[in-house]
Amino acid sequence: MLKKYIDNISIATKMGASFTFIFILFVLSIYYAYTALVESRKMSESIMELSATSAEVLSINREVAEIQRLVGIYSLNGSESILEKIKNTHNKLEIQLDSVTEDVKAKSSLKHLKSLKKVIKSYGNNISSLEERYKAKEKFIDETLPQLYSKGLNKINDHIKTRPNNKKLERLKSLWVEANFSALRYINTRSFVLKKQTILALKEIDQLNLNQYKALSSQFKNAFEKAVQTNRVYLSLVNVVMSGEAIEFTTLSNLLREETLRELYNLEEKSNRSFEVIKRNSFIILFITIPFIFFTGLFYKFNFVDKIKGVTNTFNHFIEGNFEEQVPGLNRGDEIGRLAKAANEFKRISIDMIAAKADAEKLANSKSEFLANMSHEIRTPMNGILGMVSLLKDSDVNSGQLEMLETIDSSGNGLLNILNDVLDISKVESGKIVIEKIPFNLKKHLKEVILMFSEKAAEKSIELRFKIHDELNSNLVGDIARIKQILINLISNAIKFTNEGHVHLNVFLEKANDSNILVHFEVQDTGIGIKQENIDHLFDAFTQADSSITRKYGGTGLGLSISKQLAQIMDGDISVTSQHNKGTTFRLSINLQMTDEKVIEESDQIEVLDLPDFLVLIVEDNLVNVKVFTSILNKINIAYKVANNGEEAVTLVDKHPFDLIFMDMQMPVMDGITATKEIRLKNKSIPIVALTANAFDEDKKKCFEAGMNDFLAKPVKISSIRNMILKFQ
Amino acid sequence: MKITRRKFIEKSVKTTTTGIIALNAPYIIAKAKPTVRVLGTHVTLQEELRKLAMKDLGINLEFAPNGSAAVLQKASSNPESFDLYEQWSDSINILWSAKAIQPIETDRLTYWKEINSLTKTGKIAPNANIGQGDAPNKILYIQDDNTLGSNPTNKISFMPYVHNVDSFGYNTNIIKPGEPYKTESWSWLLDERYKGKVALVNAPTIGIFDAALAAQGSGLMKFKDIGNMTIEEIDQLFAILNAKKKEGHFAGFWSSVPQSVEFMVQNRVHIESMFSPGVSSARGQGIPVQYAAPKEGYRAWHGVMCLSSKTKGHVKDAAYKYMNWWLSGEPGAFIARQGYYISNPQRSREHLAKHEWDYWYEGKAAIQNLKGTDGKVSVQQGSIRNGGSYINRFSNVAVWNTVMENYDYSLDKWYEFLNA
Repeated sequence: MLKKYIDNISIATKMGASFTFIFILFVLSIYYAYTALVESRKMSESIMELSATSAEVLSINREVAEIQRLVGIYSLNGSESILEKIKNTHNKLEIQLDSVTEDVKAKSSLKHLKSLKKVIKSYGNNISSLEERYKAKEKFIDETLPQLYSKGLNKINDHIKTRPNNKKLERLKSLWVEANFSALRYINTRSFVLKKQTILALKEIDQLNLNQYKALSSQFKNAFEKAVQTNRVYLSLVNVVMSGEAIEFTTLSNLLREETLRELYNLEEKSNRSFEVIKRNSFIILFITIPFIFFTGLFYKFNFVDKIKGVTNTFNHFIEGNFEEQVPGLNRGDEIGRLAKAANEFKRISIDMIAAKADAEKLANSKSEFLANMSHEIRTPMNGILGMVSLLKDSDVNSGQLEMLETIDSSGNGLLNILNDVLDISKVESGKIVIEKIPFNLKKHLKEVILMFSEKAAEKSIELRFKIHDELNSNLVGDIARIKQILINLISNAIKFTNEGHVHLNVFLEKANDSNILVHFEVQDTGIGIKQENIDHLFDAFTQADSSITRKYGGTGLGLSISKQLAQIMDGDISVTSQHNKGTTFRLSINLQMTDEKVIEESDQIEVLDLPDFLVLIVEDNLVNVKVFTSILNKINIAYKVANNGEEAVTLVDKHPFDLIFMDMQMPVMDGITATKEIRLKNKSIPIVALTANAFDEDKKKCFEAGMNDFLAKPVKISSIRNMILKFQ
Repeated sequence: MKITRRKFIEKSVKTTTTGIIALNAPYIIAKAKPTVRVLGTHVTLQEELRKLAMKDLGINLEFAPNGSAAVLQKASSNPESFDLYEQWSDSINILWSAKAIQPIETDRLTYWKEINSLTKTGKIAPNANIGQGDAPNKILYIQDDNTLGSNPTNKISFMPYVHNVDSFGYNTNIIKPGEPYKTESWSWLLDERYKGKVALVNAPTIGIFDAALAAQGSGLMKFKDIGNMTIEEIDQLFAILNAKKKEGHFAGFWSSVPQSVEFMVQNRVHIESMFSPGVSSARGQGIPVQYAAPKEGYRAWHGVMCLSSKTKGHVKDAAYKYMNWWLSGEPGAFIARQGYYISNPQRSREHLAKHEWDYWYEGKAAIQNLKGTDGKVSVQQGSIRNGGSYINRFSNVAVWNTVMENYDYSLDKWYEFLNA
């Protein structure tokens, strides 16, 4: 279900989706990296600020301690300069506090700072009253009380001088001294007992009923109370109020410092946390990305690459001609599905095309076969006609009869040429031409070709000559028969279309390496030339440059087509350049090999053979052919027997010791192939040479398969029969 | 009269500033309308009261609120700086001996006769125990020999008005609520469990008794007369306190009510000496502070309104007006909502709703939410005032805020303690 759904989504969408996903992951990781950077920058800024703040707070704390120390010193000596210093330090503190407040951002820290400011302000107010309180206290303790005491003591002493040994006065003096002593001690130690002693001493003085001292004692008591009070006020200012404020200040600044440290710690925590988060998320992204890319890769491999490969392989199989296979992925809805459908369509079209091709080939084959059969059927009687004409010419005929025989012979040969052309083109078209590789002497063969046309050229007063490159004197390997066929065609055309001037054959070579050479044969004439528009179709079968030419010059119009195709089969080509009314040059270029092999000289002489015991069996149903054959054998003095069909031949083989059998292929009762098989079954190893108008290589193959030893194409020539006898003598 | 705490503080600060300016040029303003300069603490120097009194009386009032030690030392050394002094009875001995205040004539006090027995005899009820130290009756009357005593005369050192019993407050979010008079104990202030989260008031006449009651409650020492400690007892007490302080037991020493609230709200302390309005304010800010009813008894205090020895003429007349206004009922009702008592409660009763009276004075459960003077709910419906009724609370006084004979000695010790 899901698979089907996925298969139906287009590859573009699937790839787009996966790339989008990877892109998002990429953007996410960039985002994380960016936020991490921003975060860490912010953190470091905050940490810097906080460190600066806590340094300032520490310094403030020191200043407060300094102030308290200074206040302590001031309490001892009341120095103006110390007081000035206290005030300055306080001012400095307030400025510092303001500066810290500007830097601090955390709410809780600001709260502490606000409290600190309140405390320091109140402390400042107290500093301003410090001097006043100190002076008030000093006035009573250092001035009023001592002055009163001295005044009283002087008075008492003076009094004692006037009334020595007065016990009451003595007691007064000791009480006065005690009161003063206790008072001073109380002010210093603040133990209530001493205060009580002072009060009691003064009270006793009052009780002595020495009226002139009552006022003094009362003054002293008041001064003492004032001293105690001002001292108390001063002490409570310094020791309770200011000290409390200083303590509170220290506590608050400690809290602020703790707060700052906590903030630092929190910041670090936060930084660590955010780092952890970023780390975790990065890992998550990584853990998602890697398997995703891996699985996407796998998915692509199995889903796309393999499927596309499958379709491609199917295509390959289709190209190789194997249409058995089903196209994979036909049920998919994506691009691969569409590709598979295209492959399937290709398969259908290919199957149709192959069928059509087979039909066409069949048709072509039947055409070729028809032509082959036709040529056979025509060549057999032609064989007879030409054979008889040849025998007749040798017999006693008068000159008028001979002339007629010559005409018959020439017309027959013309007809045979046309037949050969038709046969050749059908052979070429059905690919049944086999190119031979036989050593030959090029110069010799070229001479023959030129010789063939010398008479005709002379008739038309055309200069015909050939020029050959010196290096081409050595023997070459190739199919000289086909080369000659082409050259004959070209020269024949050249002479045909040239009315005055010349026809030249130039042969030269282009060396590829030591043994392989490219040989160029140039046939150059000064004939009528070919119009440019006709050159393109010059080599097409059944085409002449101009249909009027056929009418004027004759010919099948197959020559050039056959020549071109033969040249191509021999790994060569024919090209043409022409100027209308000036002349034409055909160039045949063919790859050949140079060789040191000797060339077997063909004997063309009709000589009587001296083979008295040699017996030949002719197996032929056509009486004309038998006549032609027997005439030749008589001419070269070879003994023979004749069988009219295969069956007769098989029987005769048992009766006579034949040295060679010439066997026709198509015969009534038993054909040549069957007869050969029969003879071979009898364990007879007599050489059998096939006689056939079926000049196709396929026929040759059939002959050899049946056990035949060689092959002769009809119409037979004396020379070929003679050579065959010599071969198997 | 919706006043937030923030406004309250801001206004208090402003008032202080105005006070200082006025100090520099008091007579310029006085010419048009008599201006009475009132020196005191935040307990009674509240902006709402000032506005109310100015409206009612047609006089100018300048409030200069500050910490108790600060105002005492200022008043005692500089009687010219104020006309009226509002603080606690422990200031009286100092102020009187410093001759910073003048006698108040009871004949000029409209509601003198309504003042209840607590101030006049030291006992709120016949079976109440008299707290140790300076019970207000002992310092109220100016004797013929110009000393202060309990023998009634028609000249008094202070006009009795606001009073209360103090103890300590604790945050019940952190400390499990105890049982009034049974488990709640002064010893908690020295309890190891609350180390680093305890504060005391920075006033030797007050803080020393909280500390002494705590030391005694913890069984660390015993006082012969906690209201009049000997040098040895003081030494022993401070030895204990100093050791505790060095261990980091104390988080701070507050010198004003807002500061005590700040301590509690900012979680600097979980338990501390507290005054009633501080408790209300902290509760108003969402901190569930329980005001303890210690089994050892309360530390009681009596508000004193004193007339500067330097105030005279029409300013003095205006000052009397202001004193009489305080006992006229509405101010008493106002401060009742902050948990204070007034010396003539019946006159304030008319200005309180029944459920308010029942809660604040009678110790009954609140039948509905009660709002404080800041307009915020300070008492939840159903809650009962810790320690019970007015009479019940004042029957359990352990000690009065007192200036002891060895006060000067204790000052030195206190200083040592602060710096320990």
